[in-house]
Parts: sequence; C-alpha cells; structure tokens
Amino acid sequence: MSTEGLEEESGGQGEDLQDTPSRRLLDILGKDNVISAWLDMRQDGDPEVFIALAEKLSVSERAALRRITDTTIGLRDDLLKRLSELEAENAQLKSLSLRDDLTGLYNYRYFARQLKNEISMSSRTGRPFSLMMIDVDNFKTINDTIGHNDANNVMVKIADAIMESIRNTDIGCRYGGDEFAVIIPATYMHDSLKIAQRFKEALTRIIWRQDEYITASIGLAEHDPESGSTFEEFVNTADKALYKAKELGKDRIFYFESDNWINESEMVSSEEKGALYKIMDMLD
Amino acid sequence: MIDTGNNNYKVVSIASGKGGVGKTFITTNLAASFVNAGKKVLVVDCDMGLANMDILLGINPEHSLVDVIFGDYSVKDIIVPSGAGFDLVPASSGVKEMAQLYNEKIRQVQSSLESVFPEYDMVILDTGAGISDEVLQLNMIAPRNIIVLNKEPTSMTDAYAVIKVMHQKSGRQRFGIVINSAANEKEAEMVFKHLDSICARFLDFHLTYLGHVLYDSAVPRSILEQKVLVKSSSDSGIVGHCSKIADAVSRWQGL
Repeated sequence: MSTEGLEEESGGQGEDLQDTPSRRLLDILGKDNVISAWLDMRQDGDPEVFIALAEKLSVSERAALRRITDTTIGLRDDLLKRLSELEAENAQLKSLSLRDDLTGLYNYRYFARQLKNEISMSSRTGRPFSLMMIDVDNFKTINDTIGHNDANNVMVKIADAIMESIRNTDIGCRYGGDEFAVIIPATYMHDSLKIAQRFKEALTRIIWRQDEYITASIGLAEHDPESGSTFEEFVNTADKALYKAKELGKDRIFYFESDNWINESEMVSSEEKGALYKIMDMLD
Repeated sequence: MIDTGNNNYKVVSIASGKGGVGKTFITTNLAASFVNAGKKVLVVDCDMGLANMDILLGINPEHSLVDVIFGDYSVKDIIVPSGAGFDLVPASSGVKEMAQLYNEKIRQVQSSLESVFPEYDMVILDTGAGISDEVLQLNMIAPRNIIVLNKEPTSMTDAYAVIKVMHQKSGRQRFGIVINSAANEKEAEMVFKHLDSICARFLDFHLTYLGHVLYDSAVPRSILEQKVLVKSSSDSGIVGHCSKIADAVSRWQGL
C-alpha cells in the first residue's frame, strides 16, 4: 500500500502533535506521523489506541485515509453523536415495546390496545369476554420489609404465577406498580373465576417471608356485548370489583353481575317497613 | 341394604334474610328431628359465604361444594355423614368468594345435587344469608321455602324482603315461618301474625306457621360443644320444638 501523497497532505501535522499524549504514543509506536501509526494499528486492532489515534487525525488526513481505505474515521464528536443517536433509537424501540421490563408480561400499552380490540370484537361477534384486575395485597409492606430487590423478585414470581394460571390465549399484563391485569378472550365469568381461583392457589406457593405467602385481591368483569360499554367504562367496572374485593378484606375474588345484590331498602318500601317496625310497640 | 332410591323425596330450603338468627342451628336440629322420625335426611350447606355447619357439627370434611364448582367432583363424592344421623353436603368455610356464584355454575351444582336427592326422604338446603341472585336461585331448587326470623324488627324486615323478592322474581307465595329465640309461645305467634298480616296486606298472600324455638340457654352451649341439640340432650325443650316443626313441615300442604 502506498503512503505517497499522504505525507504531503499531512505535512505539518506532526508539529501540532508535539508533546501531546498521542505524540508520545507515536514515539512509543515508533511512527513518524499519525496516519502511518493508524494504518499499522488497524492490523493490531487495539481499539483504545485506535480511537486515540483517530481523534488526532485532521480532516484532510481522514479524507486521505478515506481514499486509500474503506474505513471512515469518526472523531470523538462523531462517536458521541452516534451514541446519542443509538440511545434515541433505543428509546424509540422501547416506546414501541410491548413487554414489561421486569416481569416480561405485556405492558400497559399492549393491554390498552388489546382490550380495545377485544371490546370491538365482542361487540361485533356478540361473544362476551372477561377482564381480571389483580392487586397484590400489602405490597408496600412487602417492599419495605424485604427490600426493593427481593420485592422485585416477588413481582417476577407473581408474574410467573399469572402465566401458569392462564391459558395461552389469555393476555397477562403488568398494569402498573403492583397491579396486574389479564384479558380473557371469549370466556364467560364462571370460567374466568376458575382462572382467578387457580391463580390464587398458585400465589400460596410464593413465600415472601417465613410462613407468609403472597395474597392478592382480584376483581372480575365480564364484558356484555349488548352494553356497548367503552374501554374506560369496562376497566372501571373491573376496577370497582377489585376495590370491592379489597374493601371486603383483601385476599379474595369479587365480581359484579347485573342485579346481583338486591338492595333491601329498594325492596321494602317505607310504608312496609313502618308496618313491620310496629312489632316493637306490640312486644312492649 | 341397597337404596333403590325413590321419587317421594321432599326438598325444603331454609333462608333468613340476614345472618345471625340461628338459621344453621334450626337447620341441623330440624334435620336431626327428621332422623329421629326415621327419615333418611340430606342437609346441603349452601351458605358458601360463611359456611359454618361443619363447625357446628364438629366435623372437618375433606371436600366441599367448592370441589363441585371448581373441580371435577360430583355431589355424590363429597357427601359426608354428619355424626347426627343425617348426611351432609359441606360448603367451604372461609372461601368467601364462593358467596358469589355464577348463574351457570348454580345450574351445574343444582343438577349434581338433584342427582342424589332420590336417595333421601328429606333434603334440607341451608341457603346463604342476604338476598342475592345466588341465594334466590338456590332457594328455587326447593319447591317450599322456610324463612327463619326472630322478633327483632331488622330480622323481620330482612325476612319480609326475602319473601317479597322471591315472590316478585319467581312467583313464590308459599312460605313457612319459623320464629327463633322467642321468649314464649305467645310472643312467637304474635311475631308470626304480624308478619303474616303485612304479607297479606302488601303482597296479597298468607304465610304458613311452622313453629318456634324458645330462647334457651342450652343453645349457646350446644354450639360451643359442637353438638346438635336434638341428639345431645333429649330432655331439652328445644327437642320438642324442633320435632313439632318437623311435623309441621311434613304436613305442610303440597310438600
């Protein structure tokens, strides 16, 4: 390979490199100028030296190198720029990601997209489906007691328990924090209950400290295709059931059915009640 | 002896509106009275929200209705002898989510239950407290419904609400009434007559009086000792009361 012309173009560059680390590096390497050192380095392949030398190349040196080699040399600025570009790409890819980093379950983005799909599907086909909302009981206490790392491991185990309890057509998601959600397509409430029950049993095998296993509150909702309820309304129904499960003392499954609990005060009019309560006077 | 089954079995349900009026106590003692009268009796503990019959009877059954609902068991597989002469289909205590049962599940449980009914003379369903679709449907398995209440106005209102809902939703109008914890016979009859007059006035039908159980200090001891009273202390006044109720249930028109 000829270096003729390179020396001409790089003339005077040697002076600029006097007493710089690269200059000393060149001395050590026994080279007169950066380019010849660099050309040798390509074979040696020590990346740090390679970059150190690349940084010291002038624009004309790099142009010359480009002519005789197929390699483009980046200055530090170029490397940093490329790095930040990669980071931006990563962030972009991450924003398109459908999985939760910690648990590997689907993330909220996927959940929202899929639930909307299911709702339109259900309305079109007239086939109901179910939604299960899961809230890990006392997770803050668990987190405070065993620490963040171990608590994260517990979260992973809970995600595993979800995966082993659901069927492969069901969609297990991390809803956020210590909340999970499972979309259960084409399934009536009573089969969803089975899945919820199975999950509760799986949780009893996750021991987070001596003799204490993980429990969860579970809210179930069945989407009624006739109802025409929106994404928000349906999630709200499941959320209310979850809240009710928590309110009733956690570690349980709760679901709503239309007209399930009959309100006694609606059943018994004040006139009837008034008549019934006369028993108090009669017994006195 | 091989039980060839019969089609003359009788099914009653026992409901109460809200809990705490001694529904389960009445159920077990009524069942024991039928046993004393020579009947083959099955009690179904349908109170899946707060099943306590196994506790009352001091038994610890391995399986329960939960295994019928969520497992592959049939009712036949889970029947246990109660120790008081009758057979029991246990509910599961502490599985609180069982308080809610999907309609379809109730139908499944019902058909499994009905398959064993012909092996008995008398079937008593102890249904859950409160008024939910589940409780109503379980009561519908039985053609006749017994309502247990006491003299407290809240208990009377709950009982009335159950009667009214069952009437409005299923057209039922034959209810048998048992008054628990009465101070005396006169008081029990007064409570019954009052409730009956209100049903006649607002719902346009009358109730059937099946009897009462007097407030008796022997009751709490019986529960503590996990004994069915009719069996444990044959001289107790309660025995006589429960036998009378059992007779009234047997005579109950159409049952």
